[in-house]
Amino acid sequence: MAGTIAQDAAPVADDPSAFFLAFAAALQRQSTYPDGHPLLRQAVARVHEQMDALLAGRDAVLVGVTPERLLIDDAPLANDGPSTRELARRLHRRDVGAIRLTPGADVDELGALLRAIARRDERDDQTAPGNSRQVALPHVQLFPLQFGGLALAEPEADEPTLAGDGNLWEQLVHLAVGPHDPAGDHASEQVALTLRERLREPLLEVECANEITALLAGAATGASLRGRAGAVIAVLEPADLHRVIAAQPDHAAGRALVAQGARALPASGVLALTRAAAAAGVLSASDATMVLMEKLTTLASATSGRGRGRADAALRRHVADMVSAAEADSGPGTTVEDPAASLGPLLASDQWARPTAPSPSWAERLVRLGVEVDALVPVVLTAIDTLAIRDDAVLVAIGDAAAPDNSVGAHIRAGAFTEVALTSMLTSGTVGDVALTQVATALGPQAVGPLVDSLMAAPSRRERYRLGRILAQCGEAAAEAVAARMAGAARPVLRTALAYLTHVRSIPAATPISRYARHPDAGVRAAAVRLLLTTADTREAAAVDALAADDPHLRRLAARYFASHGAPEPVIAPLVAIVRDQTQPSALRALAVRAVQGSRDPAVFDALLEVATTRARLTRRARLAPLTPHVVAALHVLARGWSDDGRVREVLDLALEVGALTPVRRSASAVAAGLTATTAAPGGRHE
Amino acid sequence: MTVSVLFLHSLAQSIATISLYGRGHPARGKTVDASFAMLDELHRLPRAAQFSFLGENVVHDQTPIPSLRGWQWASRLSDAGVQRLEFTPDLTRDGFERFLESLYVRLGQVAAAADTPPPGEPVAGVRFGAVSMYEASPDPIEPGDAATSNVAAYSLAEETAVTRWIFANAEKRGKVPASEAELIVRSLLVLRHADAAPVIPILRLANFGDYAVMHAINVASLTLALAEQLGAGRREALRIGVAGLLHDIGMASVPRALLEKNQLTPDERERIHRHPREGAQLLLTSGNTLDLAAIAAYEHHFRPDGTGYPTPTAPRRPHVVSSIVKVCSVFTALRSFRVHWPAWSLARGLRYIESGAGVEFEPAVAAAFVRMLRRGRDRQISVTEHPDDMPDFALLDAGDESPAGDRGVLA
Repeated sequence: MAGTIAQDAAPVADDPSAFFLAFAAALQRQSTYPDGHPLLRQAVARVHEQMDALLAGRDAVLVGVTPERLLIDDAPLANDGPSTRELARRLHRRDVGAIRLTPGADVDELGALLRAIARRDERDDQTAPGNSRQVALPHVQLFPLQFGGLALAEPEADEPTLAGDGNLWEQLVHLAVGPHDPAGDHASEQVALTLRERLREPLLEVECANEITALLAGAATGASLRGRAGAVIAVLEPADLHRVIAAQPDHAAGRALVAQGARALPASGVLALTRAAAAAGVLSASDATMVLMEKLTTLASATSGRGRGRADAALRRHVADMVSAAEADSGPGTTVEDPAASLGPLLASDQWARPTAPSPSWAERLVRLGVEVDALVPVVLTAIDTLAIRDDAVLVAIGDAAAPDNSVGAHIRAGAFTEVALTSMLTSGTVGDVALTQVATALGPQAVGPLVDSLMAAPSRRERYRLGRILAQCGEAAAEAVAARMAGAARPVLRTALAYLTHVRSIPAATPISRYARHPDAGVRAAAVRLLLTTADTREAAAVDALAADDPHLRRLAARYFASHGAPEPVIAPLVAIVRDQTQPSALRALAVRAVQGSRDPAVFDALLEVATTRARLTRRARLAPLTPHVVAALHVLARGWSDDGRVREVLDLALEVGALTPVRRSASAVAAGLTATTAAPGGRHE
Repeated sequence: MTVSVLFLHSLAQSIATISLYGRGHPARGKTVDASFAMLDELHRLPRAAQFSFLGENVVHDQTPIPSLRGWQWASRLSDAGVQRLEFTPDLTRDGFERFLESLYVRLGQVAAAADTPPPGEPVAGVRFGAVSMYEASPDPIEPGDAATSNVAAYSLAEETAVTRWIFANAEKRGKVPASEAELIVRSLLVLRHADAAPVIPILRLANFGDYAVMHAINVASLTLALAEQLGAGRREALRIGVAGLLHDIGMASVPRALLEKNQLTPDERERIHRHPREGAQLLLTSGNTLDLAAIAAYEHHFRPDGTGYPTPTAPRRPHVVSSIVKVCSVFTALRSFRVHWPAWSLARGLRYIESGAGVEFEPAVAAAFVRMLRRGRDRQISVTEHPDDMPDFALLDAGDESPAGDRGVLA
């Protein structure tokens, strides 16, 4: 059996270029000399001789014509010289798509072929329709180029385009010959009948099925075997085809056979093969499908009509789609892009079409639809995954808004409202506060870990505040988690953790914050003191310790604390020392002045008076000290607390003379008006 | 010179002129006007106004133009990725000029002007790009044969039967077979392009019991036409057609008595209003390839402002395909004979669509739909389920004012 097919596929003559050289010369003479000229006859005879050599051992040879080269049975010429390329160009300009040569052609027949070609005017529009007619002689057929199969390429089309792809010219050659390439010779019928008979013999069944499979595979890639393949399938009955399908090693091979058939066979053959595959369970095709396929086959097999080609194409494409669908993974859907995206700009560009409602992305639309119809199906799952990558915030909002018993909403929440998802959102940095808060609130304590990790790594104060606000909503667990991160942590982490705890005014039990008040890092110390100052249990001791520290920053924190809360007796002396210490910054001394304002200690009075006045270098007369912050504060405190003292009145008079700052002036004026300073003076300590 | 040659020369001249003169210049306007007028002439020919530029070959529709072999503009366009140009009568003068500008940009002569559509962005009425193989060899028909309608020889018996089966399947098994729905639409596409000019095959059935089937096929047919009008490629058109076919699949489970009832109670109305949701659910659970159909089934009663029914969780503009399906569905319903009211005339139906633009319908879609049927290039052809039933298949011109008659759908 193998020999039968192999005979058809026998290689052409070793050097077919001799035939084409003779053909080119004859074509040239055909254009130059009148019919019957001896030189022309001689040239045609030469072609005839070479044709015998070309066809030796073969049923037929199909010569394809592309703009740049000639093909023999779909394969380019091995020795593709300038003369054969020039012949290709000349034939192409004469609108020749292919020439089929079969044994038996005589000189007259070849002469007729050459005349037909030579008469095809290269540049005459009027003759174009006539030119498109094929020339059919007994042993020679000329197929004009056909352009009916061209269409605008779809962006997603998997077909190669003509752009830089010579294969499409080869497809145009196939198109010229047509899918309905008749077997054309008695040999093909004989082969078909022989195959059918042997297919029915049990011993030869598998071998014969393999032969048919090889034939279809060859026909799917080369035009020369299509006629024979069509003839074979045409004579096989359904039971025979079933045997061929059943002989395939598995269903995938069976489907591959159908796919090859869809490329190579006439419409009726495609239908027969599909039906056999469906009967064998290789392909899923309902009765309804077969009804419509029969209709398309009928249309495609019509003898004429514009719809014939489209029906044929629709039939083949549908079978190819059926095969692809059967091959496709049965996993989640793959649609993540809008299948009609190209129509969108048309609406957007229309001046009337101002959108009055938001137009969501395709993935969002699908997810919303999934929620609204409560369909947790693969395509919706794919859309959820897509949206999770592109716009977490939207997905979170959809999940949050969905009803508790909605399956899609529950799935979103299960996926998006997890520690892992929260970590991903925090890492991406693209999710807004609202969505993060929704997830954090839904997760509760589980959200603390990712949030604390992000908080600790936050690059800016703004980001820390942002995350801190969200974390604060997680309650006490958050504070404990933050405190747990502090042991052995680096300085930035410690500062952030202490700042967060300060923000929530919480000191988890067993967290030795006071230890951090003595940390080598000034920032950590300050953060720890700030935290200690927030709670009633620790604030006073912390302030006292801070006031005694060497760190001016801590002393300032302590002074500020006492300034607003009042200073207890034990710290009056150190505060007075700060007031008197001229090396301290004025702002700190001012805080110390305000801290001691409630005290009636004489040392305080002396210190304030000393601060507020100075003496002229020469006359030694008392005069008001320069109005620095601590002097102003001292004047204010003196006016309020000690205005009945004569020395204070003198100082205040000086203050009025020099036009001191408003608060001092107001206090001094009040004193001058006879009001007792104590009526306006602040009380004692604020407890 | 033939009209096609004259047009291509004028097209090249227009591009050259655009390179020299800015928008509004009289010389430019005159050249573009002339080219556009030539395009109008081209549309009068029996061949489709489409060109392929393959190397040094120029092909008009399916016929090569030998006199333009080696025409330098063919190579230039082909090298710029414009191997195929397709015009429809829908193209406006302004759209034509914008297309020329984008072509000019594509040819790489200047940077794109701000308001010039970038290469690839569609202009309604013209499509261009690379070329690929489409179909097996058709027998070319002579121009004189174009008037011979192949549609007359066809029926929609198989499509009707399979659609009926799909609806029955949906009702009984809760599944919609996607493959069969696609095959119906493929078949409708074959029928649509069976003549030289595209047609809109419209099914006419006498039995009201088949209203849902008839409505589905006719909406599919109209959506295919409108999608192509809006520039959809063949794959998009196929999916949009499937969306049109299945948009009312949720009605499969609505009792027939309810559909035939004149006055509905609130409960009954609410039952009918559930069909978009039920349809979408059905389609989503029936396969991964029906997502677009599910969206259209759910949204085909949405308004452009996001209202309508069913009430969405968040108001949103309907998808463009939902808008296409809605216009076609409403128009088909208006033009259909129903139990309690007669079919509207074509003109009255189109006026309704026009008046609803912006409120009920997406304006751009409504405008394109009305334009398509008024221009009349896409002929509506009434087809019955069986060929024997259609001795009087009617060619309906867009200007037909007469009522469709009480005998069928859109007829």
